[in-house]
Amino acid sequence: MAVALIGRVLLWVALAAALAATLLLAAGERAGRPAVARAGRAAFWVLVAGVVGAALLLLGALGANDFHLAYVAQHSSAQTPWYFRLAALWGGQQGSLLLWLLILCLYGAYLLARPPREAEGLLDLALAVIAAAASAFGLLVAQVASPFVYQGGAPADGVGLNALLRADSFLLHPVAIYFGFVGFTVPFAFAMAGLLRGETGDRWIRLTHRWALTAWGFLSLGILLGAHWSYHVLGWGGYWDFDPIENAALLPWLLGTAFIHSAMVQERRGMLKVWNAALIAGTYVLTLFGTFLTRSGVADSVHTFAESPIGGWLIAYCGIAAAGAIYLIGSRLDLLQDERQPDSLVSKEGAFLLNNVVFLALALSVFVGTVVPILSPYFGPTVSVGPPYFKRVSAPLFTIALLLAGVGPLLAWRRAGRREFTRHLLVPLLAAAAFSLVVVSAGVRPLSAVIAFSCAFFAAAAVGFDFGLAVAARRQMQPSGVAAAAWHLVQRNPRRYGGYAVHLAMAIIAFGVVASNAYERQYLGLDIPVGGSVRVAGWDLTYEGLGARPDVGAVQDFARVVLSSGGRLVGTLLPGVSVGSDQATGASPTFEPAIHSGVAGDVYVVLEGYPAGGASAVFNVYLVPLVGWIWAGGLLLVAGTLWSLWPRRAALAAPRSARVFSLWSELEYDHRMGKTTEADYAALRARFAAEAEAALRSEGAPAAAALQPALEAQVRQRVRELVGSAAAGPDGAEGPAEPVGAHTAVGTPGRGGVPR
Amino acid sequence: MRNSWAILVAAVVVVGAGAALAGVLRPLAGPPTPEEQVMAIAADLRCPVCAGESAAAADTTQAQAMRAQIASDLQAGMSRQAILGQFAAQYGTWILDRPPERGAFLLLWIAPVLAAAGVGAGIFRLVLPRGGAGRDQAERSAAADGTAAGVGSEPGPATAVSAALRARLSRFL
Repeated sequence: MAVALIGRVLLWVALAAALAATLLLAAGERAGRPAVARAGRAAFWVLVAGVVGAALLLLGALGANDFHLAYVAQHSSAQTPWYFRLAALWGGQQGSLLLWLLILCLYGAYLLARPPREAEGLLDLALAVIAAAASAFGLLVAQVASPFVYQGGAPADGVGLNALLRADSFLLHPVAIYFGFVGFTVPFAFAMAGLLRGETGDRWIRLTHRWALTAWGFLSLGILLGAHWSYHVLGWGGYWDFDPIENAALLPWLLGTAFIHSAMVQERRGMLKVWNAALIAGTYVLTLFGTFLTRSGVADSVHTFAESPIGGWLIAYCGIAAAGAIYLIGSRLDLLQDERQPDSLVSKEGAFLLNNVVFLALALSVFVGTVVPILSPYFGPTVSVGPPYFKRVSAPLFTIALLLAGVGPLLAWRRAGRREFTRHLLVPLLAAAAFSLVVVSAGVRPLSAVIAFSCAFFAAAAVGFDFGLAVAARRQMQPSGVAAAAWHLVQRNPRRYGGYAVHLAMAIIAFGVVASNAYERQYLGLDIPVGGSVRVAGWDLTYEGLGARPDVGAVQDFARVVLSSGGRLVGTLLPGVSVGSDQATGASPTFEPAIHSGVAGDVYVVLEGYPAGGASAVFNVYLVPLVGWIWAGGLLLVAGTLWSLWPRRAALAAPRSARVFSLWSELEYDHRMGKTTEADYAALRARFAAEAEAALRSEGAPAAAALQPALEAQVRQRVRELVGSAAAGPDGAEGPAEPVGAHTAVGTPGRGGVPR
Repeated sequence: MRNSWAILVAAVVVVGAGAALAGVLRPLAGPPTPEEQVMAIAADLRCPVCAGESAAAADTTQAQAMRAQIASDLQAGMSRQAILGQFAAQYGTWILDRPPERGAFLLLWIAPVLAAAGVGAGIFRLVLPRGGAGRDQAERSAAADGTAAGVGSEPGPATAVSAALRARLSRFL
C-alpha cells in the first residue's frame, strides 16, 4: 500500500514540477528575469528527483517481489532471476514509459549540471521544451498508465516476465533504443529554443551535434541488439522482418542519419537551415510515433506487448509536437534564409544532399508501408504490407546509400576539383569493378546481390583509399612509419575518422545483410533417428539423443547434435525447448536455437519436436552466410561513433579556435591529397587564417596561454631543421615567429563563426 | 616502385576478397528444396489468425494448413502467381503481404520514387533558389575588391600565413 502511494505521490510531484519548470523557464527567459528562470531550474531538479525516486521505488518493488503492485505481479515472478526481475522495469507498458521519462530527466539533469558553453539564452528555453515533453510523459505515468497500482489481495506469485524477453540482449536492447529515442529530444529542444528566440545561426547545431550523434549511436546499437535478440531467441533463422515495431525504431534512425549528415552542411556552410530544423523535428516526432506504434497495440505485430488507452494520449502529444514544430518553423521562415548556396554539387555538401534524398525516400516508403495497413480498414478493404514489399523497395535505396557512403569521403567540402575527384573515384571504382568481375566469373548469382556486394565493396575501398591518401600526405609532412602516421591521423581528427569507421561498418553490415538474405538455405522438418545423420550443403548433422538441463527459471529439454564437415568434427550443438514454472513461461514452450558461428556463416539448428523418449527428433536447420558480419560491423559502428565523440583536449580548452583549426587542418589534408584546386585552396586558407586569428583573439587570455606550447614546438622544429636534415615539409621553412594578429585579417572577423 | 607494390597488394586483396566471397556462397547455390519453395510463397502470405506474422513464420495450425496447401498446389504444377491468386480469391487481397502491382496498390510501389523526386526537388529548390549555383555575397564583393578571399584569385605571397598560426595549425594536422 505504502509503496504504491509513495510512488504515485512522487510521480504527481514530478508532473507538477515538470509543468512548473516549463512555464518558469520559458517565462523567465522570455521576460529576461533570471530569478524566474532559476526557480524553473529548481523545479526541474524536483522533477528529476521525483522521477528518479519513483524509478528506484519500482526497481525495489520488482527486486523484492512486492506483488501488491499490479505491475510487479504482471511482469515478474518469484522464479524470475534477479537481473530479469530488474529488467522487468522495461518489460511492460507502464515501466517502459517510466524508463522513457527517467532517461529524459537524466539527460536534462546532465544539461543542468554541466551546461554547455555558449548556450546562454538557449539553455533555459531548451530545458523548457524538455520539461514540456516530461510533462506529457509525466501525465501518462502519473495517471493514465501508472506503474503504481495497488492490488489488495496480492497473488502468491507473479505472472513472470515474458519468456521471449528472458535473453541477454533484452537486458540492453530496450534501454539502448530508449536512450536513442529520448536522446533526440535534446537537439530538438535546442532547435526549437533557437526558433523561439528568432536565432537563425547554427548555434543549436554546434551545441547539440554530440547529442545527436550520441542518440544516433544508441539507436543504432539498440536496433542491432534487437536484431541480435530476434536471431538468437526467436528461432527462425532471421533477424529483421520489417515488422511495424521494428519499423518504429528504423524510421527515426533513417531521419536521424539524414540529420547528422545535413547538420554538418549547416555547421560548415550555413546552408539548409529550414531543412535541418525540419529534419530534427521530424526525427523527434517519429520517436514519439514509434513509441505510439509500440505501445498502443494499433499495429499487428508479434512485438506488440500491450493494448491500452495510452495510444490516444501518445498520438495526441505526437500531433502537438508536430504542429508546434511546423508552426515555429513556418513563422520563422523569413529568418531562415540560407547564407549561401552551394558552389558546386560536386562537393561533400552535394553528396550529403543526395544522402538526404535517399534516406528521406527510405523513411517515407517505410512510413507509408507501416501506416497503410493501419489506416486502410477505415477507408476500404484492409491492405497488408509485409516484408516482401519493404525488401523490394528498400534494397535499391540502401544500395545507392552505400555508393554515397563511398563517394562522400572522396569529396572535398565546397567544391571538389572535377578532374581531381574523377581521378580519386577511379581507384575504388576500378577495385569494385574488378571485385564484381571476380565474383560473377566465379558463378555467383543473382546479379542484384552482386551489385549490392560491389557497392559495399566500393564503399569500403573508397574509405580505405582516402585514408591511405591521408596517411601518405601525413608522411610527407612528417616522415614516420605508416602505422604511426595512421594513428596520428585518427587521433587528430576523431570526427572524420570515426565517421569513416562507421561507413566501413555499414559496408561490413551490408555484406552480412545481403548474403544472409539472398543465400540463406532452409532445411525444414528434418526427422532424424538417434544415431542417424543428415547432410546439408557439406555439413553433417548427427542426432545423438535427448537430455535435460536447468534454464533460467525453467527446465529445458535439449537434443545433442554433432556437427561435422568433411569427416572433421566441428562442434556439438544443443538446441533446446524450455518450459518454465511460472505463468508466463509455463503456458507454451520456447524454442532455443543452437548456433555454430563462423566467419563464413552460421549453422542454425532448432529442435522443432520429438516424441516422448526422443527416439527421433525433428529439426529445422538454417545455413545463414556471413550473418556474423552484421554483429562485427555493429561493434565497429559503435566504436567509430564513440571515437568521433571522444573529447579532445584542445577542443575543450579553446573550442572556437579548435573548431577553426580542425576545419583548416581538413582543408590542408584535402589539398595535399589533391582533392581541391589550387585557387580554392588558397582562398579558403586565407579565410581560415583570418578566422583563426579572430577566434584566438576572442578567446583572449586562455588562448594566448595555449599558444605558448605552439611557439615552443615551433622553436623545437626550427632547431631540428638547423641541426638535422629533416625534409622540409610545406610548413617546414618558417621565418622568425610573428605575433598573432600581426597578419592582416581578411574575411569577416565580426561574425566569429567559421569560414564556410 | 612503391606504387606498383600498392597496386599489387590491392589486386591481391580484390581478387582474394571476391574469391573468398564466391567460396562462401557457391556451396549454398543450387535449386531450392521443396520446403524452400513452399516457404518462399508462404512468406508472401499472411497467417490469418496471427498478429503480423507471415504464413511462413507462424506456427499455428492455420499457417501449417496453408503451407500444406501450397505444397500440394506446387506438386500439382501450379505457378506461384496462381497459388497466390487462389489465396487472394479465398481470403481477399488482405492475405497478400506483398501488395499487387496494380490499381490503387500501385501508389504504394511508386511511393519511394515519388518521395525521392519530391524530396530531391524540395531540397535542391531550397539550396539553389535563384539562378543556380552562386557564391555568397561577401565572397563576390571580396573577389571584386581583388582581395585573397575571392575564389579564383591567384595564390600569391599575400596568402602567407603567420608563423604562429602555422605552428598552432600543425598541432591539428
